[in-house]
Amino acid sequence: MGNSYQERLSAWADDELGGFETRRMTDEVLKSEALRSRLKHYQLIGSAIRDEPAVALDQSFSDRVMAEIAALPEEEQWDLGMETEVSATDDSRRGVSWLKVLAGGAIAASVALISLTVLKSIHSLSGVEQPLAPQPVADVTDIKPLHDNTVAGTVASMPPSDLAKPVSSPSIAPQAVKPIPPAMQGSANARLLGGYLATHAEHAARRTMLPRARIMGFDIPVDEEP
Amino acid sequence: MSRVLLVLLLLLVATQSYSAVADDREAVSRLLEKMASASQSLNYTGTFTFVNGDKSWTMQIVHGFDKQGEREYLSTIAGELRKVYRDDHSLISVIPDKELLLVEKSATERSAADVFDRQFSTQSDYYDYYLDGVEDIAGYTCQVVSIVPRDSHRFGYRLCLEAETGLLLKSQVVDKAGQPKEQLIFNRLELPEKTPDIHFSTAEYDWLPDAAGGAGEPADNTLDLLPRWQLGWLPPGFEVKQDKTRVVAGSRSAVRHIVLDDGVAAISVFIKQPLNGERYHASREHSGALNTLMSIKQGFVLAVIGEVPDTTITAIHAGLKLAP
Amino acid sequence: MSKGHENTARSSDEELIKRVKAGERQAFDILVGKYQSKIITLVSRYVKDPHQALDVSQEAFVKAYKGLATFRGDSAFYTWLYRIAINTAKNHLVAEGRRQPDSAIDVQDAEQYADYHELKDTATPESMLLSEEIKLTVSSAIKHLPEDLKIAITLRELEGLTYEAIAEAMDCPIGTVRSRIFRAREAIGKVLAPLLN
Repeated sequence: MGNSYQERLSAWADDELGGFETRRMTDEVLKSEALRSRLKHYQLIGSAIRDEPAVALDQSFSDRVMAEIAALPEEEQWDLGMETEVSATDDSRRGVSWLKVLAGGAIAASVALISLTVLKSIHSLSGVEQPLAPQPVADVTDIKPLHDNTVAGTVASMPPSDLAKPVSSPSIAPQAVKPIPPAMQGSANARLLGGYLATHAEHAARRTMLPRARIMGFDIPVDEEP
Repeated sequence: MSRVLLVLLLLLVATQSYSAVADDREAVSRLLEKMASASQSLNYTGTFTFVNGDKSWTMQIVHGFDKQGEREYLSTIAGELRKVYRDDHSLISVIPDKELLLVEKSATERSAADVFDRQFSTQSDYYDYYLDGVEDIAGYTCQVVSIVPRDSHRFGYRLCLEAETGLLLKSQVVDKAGQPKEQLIFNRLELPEKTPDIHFSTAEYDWLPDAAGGAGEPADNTLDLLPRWQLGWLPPGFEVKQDKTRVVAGSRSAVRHIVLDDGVAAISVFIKQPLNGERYHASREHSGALNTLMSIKQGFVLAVIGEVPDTTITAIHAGLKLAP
Repeated sequence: MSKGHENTARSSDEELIKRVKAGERQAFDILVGKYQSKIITLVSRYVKDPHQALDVSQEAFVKAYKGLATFRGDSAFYTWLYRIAINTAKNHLVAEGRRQPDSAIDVQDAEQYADYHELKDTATPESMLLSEEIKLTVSSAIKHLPEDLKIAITLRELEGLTYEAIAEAMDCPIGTVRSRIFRAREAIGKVLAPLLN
């Protein structure tokens, strides 16, 4: 096995060969035990570099999977030309809708979590018992928009996740409630990234208004707390 | 045409183009110096549009410079409400739609920001500098300056500077192919003698503590390990201009901040060790010219942020290593 | 950038799937090898017990094998596989009478930026030992690599960059990137071989 041949295997492992070469190398890999063994080493090296968990590096895992597949009844074997739909289909289809529902739930949960954090923060910082009940979503819509949101095509270009955000936004706009303490809002990641952006703008970027404009235009992702 | 004549002609063209570049560099340098001074020391108010990918923001800027120092108020006037207040002592970013309010209050920290010159430099060997004609923007005539990168590790800039004051009226950051990554353009600009104080009032935020509890100097038990992180590969031309541990809004523990600079573009590397209970996850964000990459490595949160291509950010991030 | 990688990744996956459907079971073994660590990591975020996580992951792969008839290639193979894995993990939790996790795991997040810290604590001592030894060996081998090989392999494996993106980052031709990544793998593989044999 020459070096250039092995180099092609390495590129194949990275899906970096062209269509024809990919087909040819796939043939070779399927024929050669040595190539497959080398490929496994490449995959293992990748996992180790990515510091993947110990359990994920289990060397006998694929053997067990293949043994179970070999033990499947004949009608479930591909070498018999199986074309019947099986339970995994339903599982995977259900999986899609389940994920969608869960994602929607996660957004709502994150909004609720943030609101709660905000209220707790105001409560603990003021040192006074303030009867601050959470704003019901219906009330939020009663607050007049402070700014014209129709300009600049932002809504049209917004990803679906962004479209969900205004539900929570007005409830914490400075004019709507008392300002809330720093380092206690948004997700940990959003807080940290926001702080880093501000620090970069102030202490590293060039002395123009551009860095501040960038902070304002930066789409810090809103994600749920772990 | 004889060969000798051809050589002479080529030499003449080469000499002319060399001197043209040299002239441009010098002229550009003067304009950029003017710009740095103008954006800091002039009183100006206006509105501009900031286009970032498929989003755009119309913003109002009020900038003042008087005995109280430099003060600035920036607010969106269309799109989601966002505000930034900035003076010599504090920086307050209000980003309600992201549930964020970031406050940095530390005179020591902020004055230390100027330990290196943060003006655009024309001394870099990694860019070419050209004067590219004039344009009319917001009723002013401005001189176009092109800063063209010589490799793919950085972006290019096309700036338009008001002829008399040097104020930046238009800015485009472009990628290697010349495609704009972000653009800022003034729609309206006024240069009053004085800007009213009312614009700079941050009274509604005065009761807030600093993001790090008002502490001037970071003091926690995570400091020992931060210096052990080392930079690996750096794009040619980039040098470490600042390396200090500081208080950063949004972080309860101290953050090591390394600033890399090539004279035009700046990159920040942030390293922090999360405190007990703090959970972060990796993320990669792009916004116009700004790229960020944050990851968790060996128990530390590493982030690289800068107005450079994503590949440059990624390569610098990949080179970060913890010395034994 | 990682997106580019995902797009090109389809070609070899599709090629392998075609072979599986043609009866070459070995092709599925290669797919298992390719996605095993990502699937186990993903499942382990739901199923904390490492032995059970391995079983559930195994079940997910077998389901995928049996369900390949319905895989039309509209989405990437790994996306389809991940959905099966998540669903299998969820069903496992329901069967166990345990509370389902209350947050969704983003497929791409799980693939690229999974939080491994919790998993490290729950791995079995024996697998932990070998894996840690492998990691230490790889880490030490990387340290001894020439700088250009080190950067190339790290950008590829850690950041998931395409060869084109790496070439841009390192300012060199794509062919050089391909060669550097191969040489890095071979050098690390040599050090690793005694451990695996």
